[in-house]
Amino acid sequence: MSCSLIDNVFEVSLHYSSPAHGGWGVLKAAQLIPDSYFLFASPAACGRHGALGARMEGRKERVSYLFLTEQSIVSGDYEQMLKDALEQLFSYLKKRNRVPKVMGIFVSCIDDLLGTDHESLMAELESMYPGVRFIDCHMNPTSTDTGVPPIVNIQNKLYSVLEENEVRDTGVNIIGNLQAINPDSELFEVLSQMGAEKVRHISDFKSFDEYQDMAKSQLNIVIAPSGEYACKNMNRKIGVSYEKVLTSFRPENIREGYERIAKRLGSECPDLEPYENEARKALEETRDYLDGAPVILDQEAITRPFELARCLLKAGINVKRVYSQLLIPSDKEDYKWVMEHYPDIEVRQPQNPKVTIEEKVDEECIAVGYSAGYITGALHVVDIGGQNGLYGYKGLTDLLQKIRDARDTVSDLKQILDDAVIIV
Amino acid sequence: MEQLWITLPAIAPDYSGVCSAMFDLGGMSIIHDASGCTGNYTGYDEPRWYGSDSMVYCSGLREIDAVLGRDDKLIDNVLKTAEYKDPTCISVIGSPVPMVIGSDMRGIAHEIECLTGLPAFGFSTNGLGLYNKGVSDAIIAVIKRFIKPCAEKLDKGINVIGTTPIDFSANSNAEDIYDLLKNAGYKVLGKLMMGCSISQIENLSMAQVNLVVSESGLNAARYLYEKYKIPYVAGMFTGTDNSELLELIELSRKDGQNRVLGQNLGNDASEPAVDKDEKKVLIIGEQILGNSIRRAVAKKDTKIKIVVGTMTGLRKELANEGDLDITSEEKLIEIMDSGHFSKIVGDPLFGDLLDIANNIKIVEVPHVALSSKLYWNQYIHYMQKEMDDIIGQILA
Repeated sequence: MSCSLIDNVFEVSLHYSSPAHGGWGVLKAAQLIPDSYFLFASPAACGRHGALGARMEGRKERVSYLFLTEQSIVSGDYEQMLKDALEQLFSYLKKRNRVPKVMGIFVSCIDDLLGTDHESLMAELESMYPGVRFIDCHMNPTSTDTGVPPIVNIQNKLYSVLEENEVRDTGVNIIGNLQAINPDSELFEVLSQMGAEKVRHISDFKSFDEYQDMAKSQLNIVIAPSGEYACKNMNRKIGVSYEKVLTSFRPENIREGYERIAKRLGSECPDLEPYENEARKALEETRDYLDGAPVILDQEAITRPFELARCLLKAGINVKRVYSQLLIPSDKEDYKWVMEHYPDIEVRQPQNPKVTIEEKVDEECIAVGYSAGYITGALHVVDIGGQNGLYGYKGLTDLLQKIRDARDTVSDLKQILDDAVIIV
Repeated sequence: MEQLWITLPAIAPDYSGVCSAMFDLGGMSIIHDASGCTGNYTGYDEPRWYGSDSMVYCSGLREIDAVLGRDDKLIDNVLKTAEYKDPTCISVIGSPVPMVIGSDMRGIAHEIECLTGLPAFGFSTNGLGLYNKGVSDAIIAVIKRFIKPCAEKLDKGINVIGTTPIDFSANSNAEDIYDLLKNAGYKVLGKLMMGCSISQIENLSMAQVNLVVSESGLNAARYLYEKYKIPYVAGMFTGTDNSELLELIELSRKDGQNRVLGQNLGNDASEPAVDKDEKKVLIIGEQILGNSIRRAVAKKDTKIKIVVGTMTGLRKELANEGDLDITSEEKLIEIMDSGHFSKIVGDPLFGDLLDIANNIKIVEVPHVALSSKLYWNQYIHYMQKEMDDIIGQILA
C-alpha cells in the first residue's frame, strides 16, 4: 500500500466508526446531575444507543423517550406533544415517588434546523411544574465543528442548574472531567496544603440540594478543555471564577499548573519535589521496562495525546504512532514539538477510512486506548477510556504503571469493549 | 400516549436495516449523518461489526453543510474513499437531518453512479421507520438492479430471503437454514442477505421456490413471484423437527402456490376458549418466527391458544385472526394488564414492563431489534435443541 494514502495529515473524509470508537455519550454525562430525569424528544432512532447503554449500566430508569413523527416535525406541533408526554411521564413518576428535581429535555440534530425557542419553552414548563428545574439538552453531533459541540454544551448544562450562593467557602470545584479524579492523586493533598478544605466534583453528590454546595466554592479548576465554556458561564451567573489547569503528563507542566492554582488561591505552592521525583523515577523505570517496545497513543483515551507523547519521548520511551482525529488548540504546541523533534512519528486519524487499509502493526506494541488497540491489532491494550480519573504526577505514574502492566498481558479487547459500554 | 416510551428502548431503525442487508455485498454503505446514527448501527444493531472489513461509513454531516445543502461534499468524500476501497456498489442512506432538509438520496446516488461507474443506491431512510422496512427496501433494490432472467430453472433451486442479524443475530442461525436445505437436497442459490453476494442475486431467478424466513423478505418474495413466477413459503425452521416446513416448500415448488406456515391451521386465538379462565400465550417478536413457534407448539398441543404480536407492523397476509399489531409500549402494557395472557414469549426486556400483579411468565427469546447487544451473545439457536426447550416452556 502506498504511504501517500496515510500521510500525516488532518483531512476531511468520510468517517469510519470502529467498534472501539465512542465514549460516555451526552446522556450519561447529563445523568451526573443528582435527582435528574431526562426525556428525549427526537426521532426514535436517535435515542436507541443511549437507552441501551443506560439499560446496560442501570441508568435506564432515569430516561424516557418521546418519538417524534414526521407529521409533528413538519407541523411543528411537537411542543404540544412534549407537554402531553410530560403530563403522562410526571404522573408515572409521581405514582412511584420519583419526581425529579431536574427534568432535562433532550433534542437531537434536527432540532437545530427547526428553530425551537428552548428558553421560553423551558420557562413555560417550569411554570407548569413548580419545583422542577427544566433544562434543554442537545445531542447534536452536527454541531461538532462549532464553538459549542455536544460535550461542551452538556457540561454547560450540568452546571447551569447551580444557583448563586451567598456563602463562599474555601472549597474548589474540579470541572471538565466526567469521572472523578482518583482519590489517591496528590491533587487533594496539594490543594489542602493550599488551604482548599473541600475539593468538589459533580459525582460526589447524591442529592440535588447537596449538589448546590458546588456554588459555594471559591474557584473552578478546569482540567479538560470541554469544561471551559461551562466555567465561563458559571463565572458570569454565580460568580465562581476559574483557572484552566488541564490534565498534563509532562512534569514541568504539572508543576506550572499547581503554581498557578496556588497563586489564584493566594497561597504558597507546597513542595512538589517528592511527587515529581516519583513521577520521573516512574518514567525511567517504564523506559527500561519497555526496552524500546513501541507505544501507540489515542486521543479518545488521552485528550491531548501529543502532550503525553512529548513527555514519553523525552523520557526515551518509543512512541511510534498517535491516533488523533483533530488537533485541538491546547495540543498544538506539543504537536509541533513532536513533529519537529521526532519526524518519524506516525499520525493517523482513527475515523479516516484510510486506517482500514493500513497493515496491522506487526510488532508487539502497546496501545494506550481502545481505538488505537483495535485499529493496530495491538496485542497489549491499556484499558483506558476518557482519561479515567488520571491527574497530576500520580496520574502520570498510574498511567505508566498501566502501560507496564499491559506489556505483560495479552488483552482481550472485545471483552474490554463489551464491558466498557461506549456510545458514539 | 403512543409516542411516549417510558421503559423500553427504541426498536432498530430503518437505516440499520438497510446497512444490515447490504453488509455482505462488498459494497460501500454511507449513512448520511453526523455520527450518532452510524454509531447506533455499528455499535448496537450489527453483531458482525467487530473484526469486520465491511465498508460502512458515516458522512460526517455538519450543521453548516446541512444548511447550505452541500451534497457535493458528501459526493467528493465518497469518490475519494471509493478510489482506494474498490467497492462493488455504493449505497447512500438517509437519516433524520437529510429528511428535514429534503436531501434527494436517490439523486445523490445517481450522481455517484455517473461519476464512478459503479451501481449506486439511494435510500430515503429517516430514523423514524423501523429496521424491517430498511431491510425490505434494500433487498428489493438490489434484486431489481442485479437479477438476470434465466432460460431455465435449476431443479430444487431455492432462495432464502430475509436473514439479517437484527432478527437472527450472528450465531449460526442463518447458516443452519442453508445447511438444512442443502441436506434436504435443495440447492441454495440466494442467501438473502446473510452470506449474500451480487452474483447470487444475478442468479435468483433460477430458483423454483423461495423460503421467506422473516417479514423483511416478504416484499421481495412477492416481487419475485409476480415477476418471475417463483412461489414462496413464509416460515422459519424451529427446533429439531422441521418436516412440515420442508413439506410445504416441496409442495410450493411443485404446484407454484404461495404458502404461510401455520396460517389458518386451527390453533389461532380467535377460536373460543375452552373455558373462561383459560389464558393464552402471547408471542411477541418477528412475525414469521412467531408464526413458526406457534405452529411448532400446536403440533404438540392443539389446546394451547397462542396469539402472535409484533411491534414492527403486523402484516395481515402473514397473520391469523386475533394476532396483534402492538404499535407502542403503551399498547403492550395494556395487553399485559388485560389478564388474557399467562405467558409472554419474547425479548427479556419485556420483563421490565411487568407489574408483579400481572403474574405473567416471560419465556425469553431475545431479539436484536429490541435488546441489541444485551443478549446477542446468548442468542437462541432457532433450529437446535434450545428452541425445543423454548417450545417445552410454552407447553409447560
